[in-house]
Amino acid sequence: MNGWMGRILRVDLTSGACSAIPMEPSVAKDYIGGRGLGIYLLNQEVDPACDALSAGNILVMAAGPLTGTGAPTGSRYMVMTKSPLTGAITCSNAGGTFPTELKRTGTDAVVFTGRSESPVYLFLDRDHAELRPASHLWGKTTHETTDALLAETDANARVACIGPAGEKQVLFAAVINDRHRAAGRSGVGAVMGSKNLKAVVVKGKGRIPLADPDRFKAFNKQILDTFKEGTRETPLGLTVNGTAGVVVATQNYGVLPTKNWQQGTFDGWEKIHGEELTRRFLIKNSACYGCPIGCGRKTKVDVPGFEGEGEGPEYETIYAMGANCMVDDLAAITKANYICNELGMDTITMGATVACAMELADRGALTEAQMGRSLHWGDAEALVELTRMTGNREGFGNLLAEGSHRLAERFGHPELAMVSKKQEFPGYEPRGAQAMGLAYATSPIGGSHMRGDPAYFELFGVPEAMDPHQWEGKAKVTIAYQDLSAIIDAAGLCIFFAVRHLAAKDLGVAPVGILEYLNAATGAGYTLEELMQAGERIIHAERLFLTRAGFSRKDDSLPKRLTEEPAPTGPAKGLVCHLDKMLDEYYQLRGWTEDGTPAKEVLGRLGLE
Amino acid sequence: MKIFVKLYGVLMRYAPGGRPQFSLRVEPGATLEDIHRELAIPEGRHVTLINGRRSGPDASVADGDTLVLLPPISGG
Repeated sequence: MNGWMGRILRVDLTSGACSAIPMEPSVAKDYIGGRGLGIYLLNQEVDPACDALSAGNILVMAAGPLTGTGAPTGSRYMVMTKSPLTGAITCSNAGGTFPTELKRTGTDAVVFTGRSESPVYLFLDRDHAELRPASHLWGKTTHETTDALLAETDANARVACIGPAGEKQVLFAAVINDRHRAAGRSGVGAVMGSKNLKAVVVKGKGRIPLADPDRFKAFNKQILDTFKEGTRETPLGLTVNGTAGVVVATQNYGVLPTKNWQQGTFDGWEKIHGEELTRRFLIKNSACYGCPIGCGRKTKVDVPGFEGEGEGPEYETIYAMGANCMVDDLAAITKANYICNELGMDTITMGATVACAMELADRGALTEAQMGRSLHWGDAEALVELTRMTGNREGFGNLLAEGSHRLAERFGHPELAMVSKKQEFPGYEPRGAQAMGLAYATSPIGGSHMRGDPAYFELFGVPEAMDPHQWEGKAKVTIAYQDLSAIIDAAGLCIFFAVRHLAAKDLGVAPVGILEYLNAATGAGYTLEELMQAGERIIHAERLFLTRAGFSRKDDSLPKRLTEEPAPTGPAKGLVCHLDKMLDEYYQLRGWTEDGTPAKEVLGRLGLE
Repeated sequence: MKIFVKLYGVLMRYAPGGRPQFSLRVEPGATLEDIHRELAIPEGRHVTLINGRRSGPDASVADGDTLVLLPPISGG
């Protein structure tokens, strides 16, 4: 095969056996790879009703056919499993160089099944795969683990691992690769921890074979030349200030979630936005494999009490730990970000859970005696300390480690958890960006912006702008973006490049550029219709898993704060999110029942009986 | 009439006197296109918000409006 390596590695953690199986060409074409291959395998092998932290769950690490090919941003892989946080699936995505190295071992995906009796790590190179003892690594941070594994295997290998948070099954533990890249969301690290799998070390060699290297190279040049031309005069905001540059947009649109989503504007925003990050802490940009944007931030903080060095923070971290907690101290936010990377946790859920605790404390539902400390809005020191305690499940951190839904429910205020399907939202307020509410509600992983990102058409105007306050017509466009995101995630690309440069310049966002790359790389001869149908198939395969796990319309929901309480400040003042109206239209356009179940005819058309 | 203008990111290079936030006197009925021309900001990929609402070059401003000019931003 070309583009694809043609091999799936199965690792039975219970017996210790590793075996390679060939990738079926028809599965590769129908599901593309990455996220598509992941959901195909989950549907084949996992009982949707299983306990996510039991040996019956599997964990898939899957690259895409464009990963490692040199296609711009072709650096991504997916970590997919049943989520312990939500009970739905995960689609945790990361770049860096680990995914490319995984492909260079001749492997498209690794499937971990069962549970090891004691801690192990997988070592995988071109010639063999083996599980090795990892008891000596248990308890180590992700940085310490990476250093130790590179020292004992190969200095040029790449490592994905969990930290103490994953070992202790913090429900939003992440898998960290290349030290600073996170497959962050939905608790993929907790599943690794439950299986006693500490790390995966890959060392490959050679190039990814391409079906038509000349065609690939010519198209690549055309795309990169266009990118360079378009950014010569005005560089992308992502390059200049990283994703942290988004703060200025969300604040000015009035959709920067603040004070646990009570409002969409934050008075202290100018202290935490991207330009401040660049001015105060940036050492240099960093880029994933093959990326011309370089949105990563290598940073260093020397503010007393918050000293550290690492990468980040991203926009989502700044929203969740900053505005949402009313913390305007960028040093504290950056420090808490470093701790999340080192202990291996999702920064969004971490910050949003602290914000939820702050509101519970503010209302007197959580007392100092229960927390073992005081907690108030804007408490920067508490943010950092609680983050550390959560990753280690110490004291009150043991309750925060369950996420905001379980915390708020435990203390009698479930309505204060800002979640969909028990997963915390990213940083865009649906009262002032209506389609974002629909995307959160219908995302297969719960609160997420990366499964079809309406910020592109509601806030960034890519490729065209839609009024963020309007709900009419949003279902159709959200569906187009969701299907596109499935294709991007399956192909191994990054949304930051692909939406702008590899999709049609209208709100249908047909994946025209991805089509050319995929055909040049794989030789699979996709038509545009086939590729778009593959995106739709992935979305429906995911929905099928959720339906079988008991999810329905009741779970495609938002907190009442967003649908019933008018926004109190900013340009969206007086608005609520019209989720029900958009959801009716969404189900109708998808061909789903009023309860959100895909109709048999739709599943039949997509080959998903 | 008077409006208030805020420039961010690379657009700060167009700030009169180096101050990225300033008030500006404009003729009644002035459009964004007029204001961009006055500030020598080329029409292009930036986004202009009038009181937090994205607006096109034909949109006119009213006394007391706040204009925010953002560079091309995406990601999250």
